[in-house]
Amino acid sequence: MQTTTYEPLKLSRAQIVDQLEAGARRRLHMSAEEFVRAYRDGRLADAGRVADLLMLAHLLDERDPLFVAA
Amino acid sequence: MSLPETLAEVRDLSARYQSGKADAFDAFRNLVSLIFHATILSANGSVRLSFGPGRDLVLGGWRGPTDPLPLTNGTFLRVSMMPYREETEHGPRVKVRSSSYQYQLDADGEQPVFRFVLVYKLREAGSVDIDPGLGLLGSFFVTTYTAQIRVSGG
Repeated sequence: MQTTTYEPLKLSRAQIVDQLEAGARRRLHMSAEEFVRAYRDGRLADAGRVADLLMLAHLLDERDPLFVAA
Repeated sequence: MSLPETLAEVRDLSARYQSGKADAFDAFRNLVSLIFHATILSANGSVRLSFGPGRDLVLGGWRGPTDPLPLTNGTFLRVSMMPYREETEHGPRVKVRSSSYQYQLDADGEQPVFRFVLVYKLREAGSVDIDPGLGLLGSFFVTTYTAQIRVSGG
């Protein structure tokens, strides 16, 4: 069982934003910025469908330009 | 690993993550990994903590929060959990702010079967409000004293 040997995954801002961009475009047909703005405005019809993307966004600093732009 | 050994490992990891000490998040990850591997997780799958420039951690797949876990029956489970440390009157404790589980037939999630979302604690007002919280409360949810639960079909 893989329970003892592993390293946490460190993601850079660029990696997180790239994954958000790719995930939002593939699954919601919108940019990462549009995705964050839509969620904050309550315009995502089923946010649970992209809960993993929302948690990915949590790895960014809360003062990240992506949030400021949104 | 025998059943008594497994149970002993579960007790040890539970005590370590509940202690809130330095290795609490690793113990939490290892406990989830142990339980998943003993039940549904494929031998070549594994859970992993991810972190970035912010202060939050997310437990998810090996390649990050959006990476689904391969299951023994050839299907997938997309898991995202957000553990955090909270100071309590009994000392620091590791808790989970929210978690999401989606059982899906394919790796890309184009064929979801069901989804289970738990929101234990919304982030404090005033910070970036991107928690999968209030926006999730749609077609069906149950509210308890400490958790909001939503289950939806694919």
